[in-house]
Amino acid sequence: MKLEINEKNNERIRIAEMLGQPDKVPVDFGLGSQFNFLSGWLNLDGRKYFCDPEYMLDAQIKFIKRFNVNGVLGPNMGLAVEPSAFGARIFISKDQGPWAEPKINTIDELKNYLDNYKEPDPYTAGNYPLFYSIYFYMRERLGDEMLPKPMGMLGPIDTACNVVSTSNAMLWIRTNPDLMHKLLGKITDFLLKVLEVKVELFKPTDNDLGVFDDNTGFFSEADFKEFVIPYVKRIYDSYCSKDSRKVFHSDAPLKHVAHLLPEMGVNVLISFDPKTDIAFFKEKIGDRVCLKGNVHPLKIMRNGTPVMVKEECKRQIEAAKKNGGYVLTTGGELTNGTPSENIDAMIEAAEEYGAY
Amino acid sequence: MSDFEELSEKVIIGDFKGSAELTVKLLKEGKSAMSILNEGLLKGMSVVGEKFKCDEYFIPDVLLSAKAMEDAMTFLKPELLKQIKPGHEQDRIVIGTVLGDNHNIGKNLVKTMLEGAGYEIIDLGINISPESFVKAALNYQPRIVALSALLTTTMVNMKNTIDSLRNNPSTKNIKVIVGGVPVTQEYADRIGADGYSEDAVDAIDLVKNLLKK
Repeated sequence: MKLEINEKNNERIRIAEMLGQPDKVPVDFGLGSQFNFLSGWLNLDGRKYFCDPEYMLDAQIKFIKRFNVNGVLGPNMGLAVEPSAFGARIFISKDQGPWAEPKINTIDELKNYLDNYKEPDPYTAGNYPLFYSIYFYMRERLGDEMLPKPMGMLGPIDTACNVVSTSNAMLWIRTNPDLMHKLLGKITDFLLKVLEVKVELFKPTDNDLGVFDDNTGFFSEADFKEFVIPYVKRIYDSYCSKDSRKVFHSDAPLKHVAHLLPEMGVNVLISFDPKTDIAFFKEKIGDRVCLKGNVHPLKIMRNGTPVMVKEECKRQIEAAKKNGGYVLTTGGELTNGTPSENIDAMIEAAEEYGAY
Repeated sequence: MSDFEELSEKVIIGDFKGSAELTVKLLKEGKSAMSILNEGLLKGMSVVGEKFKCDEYFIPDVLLSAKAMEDAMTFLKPELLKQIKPGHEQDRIVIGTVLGDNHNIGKNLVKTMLEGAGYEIIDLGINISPESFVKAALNYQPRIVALSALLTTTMVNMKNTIDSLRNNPSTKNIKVIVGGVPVTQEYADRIGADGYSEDAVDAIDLVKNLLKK
């Protein structure tokens, strides 16, 4: 099937991601239009969305057609994939996106797990077969060129947090750092194996890669250096080339570690930290990292009026567009209940105030 | 440095073995459980809360300090319970993370602080539906229901839970407090919560004030 996409906007996004200056600031909902928003907008059933590729694709296409801007397109499984490979039980319900019940609850269980660890099979572990089959269905419907290659992944920290629980992960990096390093190392090894399988199955034509690791923002600078950078950097270094777009996402606070992101290899930061003014990030890393954000998804996009949305978008555009390398979007995914008029207002703001 | 200051310091730096050992020592020396709690543990956690607010401490630091308090409380709690006079049973609070949210950090911190402050906490866990909160409220008859959410995507279930509690004649008057990273006072007011706590330390005063009313 032929899907009309806004090629002009996409071209602007590509230029901005390479730190260039397009003719106008683009808008990007490639991360923003997930089940959380779609479920309320289209009254979706989560059980069908995450298991029925036709249902998922139809919802995604509706967003793209309605707003004439890119949105999530592809197998969009949230937390349902990476943690599942390590034995976390995944729950899918009618009204909520997938969430993971931790597999490991005590330090003794972690020791035992690591002592007896057998690397999961990247073809067949957990929900990976479902993920791959959703991609193949969508590729059959849209064609290989239309469908983005889903090379993005949940990062090592978020995967660990869903396997042992977030509070355990954050405590154990202090009480049992060696064990956590071992776990993160094994998770990273596996994620790299998954990338090899994805290359085999999806045949991407570039080495661009997205790592989505929300919980990393809750670490101190010292913990970020010790427990985040080595693993995420290894993923980028192993897979990406010098010209690749190395995309990172966390909507947790990032102000205190923003300066470390280029060192980690990041050159595109997407949907990030809505509590910190984008001007800060522009000044700190805007010369090296394309900033895609960061209008507050709840305070402004969901709870604001279209006038408030436009004003905030205008403010952010003025703060961040200088010299390019900037894309307007939300600091985190669109939430359930966001009015369509507010999404329209954001797109209008880019049109009205985004010219270079 | 006094013994209580030393105990506070062990909580602040997250020395969980040290805080437990010192608590045992102070109890053996005849120090009152309430003074160990108030002058040692809670003072330490109050400092931790301030450090978290000004970005000196982060979540792992807070959790380590909370562990220091929890491990000390293992020895302190039985002594505190002995001091409850008949007819003055502990006020009961039901706590949980709302539907769709599997984060428990904030909830566990609040639980630790409120238990330390002398409240009986019924922890429902994570991903708790509005119906389950109502069921628990009917079953346990708490004075307060405390809701936690870490995601903007799940905090909408705080309103759903409050509405469910208010729609039941047997639970409509139970006070509800909310908290979590994306939650604000403004949001709490809008959804009809009785109180909002920015962090676990503030939760103690919030609960005290609510229960006075």
